[in-house]
Amino acid sequence: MVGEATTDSPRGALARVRRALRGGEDGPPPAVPVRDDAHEEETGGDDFADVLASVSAFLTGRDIDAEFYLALNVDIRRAGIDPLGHYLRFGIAEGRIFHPALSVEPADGSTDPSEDVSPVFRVDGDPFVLRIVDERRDLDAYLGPLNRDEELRMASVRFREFLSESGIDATYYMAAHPDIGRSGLEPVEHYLRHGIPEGRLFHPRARLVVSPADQDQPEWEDADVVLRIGTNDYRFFTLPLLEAVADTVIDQARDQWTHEPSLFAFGLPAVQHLRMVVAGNYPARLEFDVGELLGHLDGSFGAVVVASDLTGEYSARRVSDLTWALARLGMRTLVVRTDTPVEDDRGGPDRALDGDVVVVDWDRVCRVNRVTMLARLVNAVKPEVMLVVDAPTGFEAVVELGVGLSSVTRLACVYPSTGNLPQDGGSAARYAGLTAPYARTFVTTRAGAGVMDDLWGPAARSAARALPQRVPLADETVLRVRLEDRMEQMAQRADGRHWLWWSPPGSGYALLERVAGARPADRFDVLVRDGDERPVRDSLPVGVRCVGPDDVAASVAEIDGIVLAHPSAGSARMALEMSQYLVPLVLSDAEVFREVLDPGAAVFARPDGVGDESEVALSDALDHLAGLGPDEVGNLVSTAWSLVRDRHSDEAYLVELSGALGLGDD
Amino acid sequence: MTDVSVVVVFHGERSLAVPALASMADLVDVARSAGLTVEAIAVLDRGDALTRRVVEAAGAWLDVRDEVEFGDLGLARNHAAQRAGGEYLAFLDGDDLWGSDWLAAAYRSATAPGQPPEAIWHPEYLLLFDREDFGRPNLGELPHPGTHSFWLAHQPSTDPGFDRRMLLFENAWSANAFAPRSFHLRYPYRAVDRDRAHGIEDWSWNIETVWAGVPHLVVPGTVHLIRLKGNGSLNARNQAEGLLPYIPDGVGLGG
Repeated sequence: MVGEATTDSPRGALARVRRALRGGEDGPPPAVPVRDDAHEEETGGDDFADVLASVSAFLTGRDIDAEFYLALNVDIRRAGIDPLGHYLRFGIAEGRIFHPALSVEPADGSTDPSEDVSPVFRVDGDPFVLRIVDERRDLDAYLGPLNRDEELRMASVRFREFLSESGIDATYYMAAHPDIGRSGLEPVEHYLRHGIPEGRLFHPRARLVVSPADQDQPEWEDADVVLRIGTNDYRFFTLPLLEAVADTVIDQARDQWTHEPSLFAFGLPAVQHLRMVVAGNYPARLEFDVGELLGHLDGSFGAVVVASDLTGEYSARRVSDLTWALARLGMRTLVVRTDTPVEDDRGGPDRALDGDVVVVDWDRVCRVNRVTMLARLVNAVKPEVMLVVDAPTGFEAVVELGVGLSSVTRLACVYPSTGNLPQDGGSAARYAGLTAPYARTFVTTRAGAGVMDDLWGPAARSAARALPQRVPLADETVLRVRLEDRMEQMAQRADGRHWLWWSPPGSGYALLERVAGARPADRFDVLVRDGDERPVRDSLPVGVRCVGPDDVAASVAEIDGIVLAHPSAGSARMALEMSQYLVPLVLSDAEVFREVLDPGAAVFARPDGVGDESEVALSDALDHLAGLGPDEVGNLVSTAWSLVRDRHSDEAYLVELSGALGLGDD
Repeated sequence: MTDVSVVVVFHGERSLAVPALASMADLVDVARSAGLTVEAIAVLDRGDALTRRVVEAAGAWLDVRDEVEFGDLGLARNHAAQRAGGEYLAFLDGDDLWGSDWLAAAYRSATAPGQPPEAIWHPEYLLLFDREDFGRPNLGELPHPGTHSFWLAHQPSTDPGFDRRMLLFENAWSANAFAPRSFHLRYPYRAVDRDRAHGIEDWSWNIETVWAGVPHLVVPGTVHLIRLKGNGSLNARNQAEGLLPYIPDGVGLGG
């Protein structure tokens, strides 16, 4: 009965389907066999082609595609026919729904195509239009429960094929879980719907690995079947049948039972079916892929750096600076990344690391007992130094095995904290006191180091220190050109001023709006660095633009100054970097800034905060900077540049880091 | 010369020493029945009073009962190696049991023609058992899904799939090994260094001997019965104490 229309009108059918979509009592849409025959009298030929083209253009222009229709109507997907054509020809009459954002309704003579209404088309001779009724385009809310049923049905088919091919049946599952028989559910269906989420074992030989969808790893390629259910992939591996333990061995064990009655507490009849572990099979025994690890480790390493990931601004830059310095100190570095990022979720690909570096993704190597195994790796590598850069797994290794680790290497824990606990130091607040007895403590600022010493100094191995920052210095020839450009810009400037604003992504725009509002003659742009999340247009004050990283070098000569109002490690870093462009700096009067630049190198706005006072202070500071003459501005930017050169050059960084790690102490 | 000295080390096993001594007696009987001369030794290292009484009462048949005050399993074994007179030495932990063929079969393997003169021998299987499994009844021939007890099959170091660097991450053999006594004198166990949190005497010894080129082999058809304690992990104690194995100079991931 191909494509037989229901007796409902399209509206009635749609209402029924919508009730089903909402989980109403009618259940899911009817499984009507798909039809792809042509109804020439109404929908065939050139007329229909025109209708199809016009409706298709209407939907395309509104970002509505056939994904929902195909997901919901497996018969159409499998038939491989054009979904919109099917919908217009048959789907409407059959009560199917093309997209939840659409309504289909009869057209009368007054219905004209518009932004929300499609061209008129005919079904069974009657005119209809599609109307946009819902601006939402996110299909997840609609598709989730519907897809789940279809996914489970498909999964059960494939899982049964897997069982058949593997020679595994449901006997174990039913025997091990007597409640399943009482539930009345068929065992495979029970397992997929309930057993997996409840952590039940289907069969000792069916090993299951669950991962977020599309997370492929080399060792998973051998999966016997992959089931996609919801947002996860369920991979099943058939474990080989192990050779049965010889009867003579079991007899020897049984002979000892009279000495120790608990020997067969598991039940002697089950002795041949106990789990069998091969000692040398570390992936199966320990979920530790030693082959994956050893494949990366050739030769020796002078340093191990443990980092959570290498995509975040703080972690990536810190690790890259460290590996650069360690290479210059003659150390090859093994970087253990404890959390492999999902690229799309973390704002970009890995940053390249400087130095002689091998990166190991701990997620791919070790799935359980990660802390102990990490400590054993370091124990085996015996590096001269081990640095943990804001990585909880590494911090825990130091906490749990710090005595042993500190006897084979110099330990240092790097916390992204200015001492303002716990606001900017979640990991510092949690771990710093526990790692301090075994490891050197590095934080972002000297003030932060003072806070650490006040809190945990008596138990600490050594005083906490501010880990220096390494800043790429501009070449002096380039600087001279930039200084000349700066002087020329000041000579030509008009009344209004042009300021760059930077704050950690997503914050600080309310203050910017107030400051910009108070200075209508000035122009403000927001600086977006490489790797920063670009602010949403609507979140920026009116008239404020984004300046991308590629524009900075070209435009800094035209800028009267950069405003860094938000005290943070990232802002301090920005101040140091902008000093090399000879851009005048306007900074909030915060410790994190005072530590890196003197009053003679920047204009400090007082007080710090986000209220009106801060707005006034910043505006006053901008007035002050705007009032300075060319020589005064020249002195300001030159002083900033030379301070950074003295404190943050490659050489200064190497000396500082070497001293902080105690290298050369022995 | 005595063929085999079998040494069981106790410290605070208390009542668990009873089945261990009974199982050890089976070992010795089978070995002697096979024509071997066997010296049975018990070393009580800083033992508590109850364990001492148990060893006295249940170990009257032993050839030697020795008390030491090392407080260190490795040093107690080293003491026994010095004290023993056998050509081969078999160490036993005082809370385990052993298939009764172990000594005789290990001696046969170690002295069989064509075998390396210096090798360390391990049982083919361990049956790791947990008395808590009484609360997890089996389903006929199927164990309860939550059963802790399991089989572990030892792998020889000569196996093509064995990469000695794996040993740096996890021990591959249990402590109850069989080897020439001269070998134990040359490669004594290292004491636990609690100030540096390094130790785990048998694991460290396995690393040292493998890197020294000594093969670790398995004796076919043999089994040791290892008692699981605490959370059921062999390494629970070592992890709880935060210990790491010694890695001798020259040993590392480079190969």
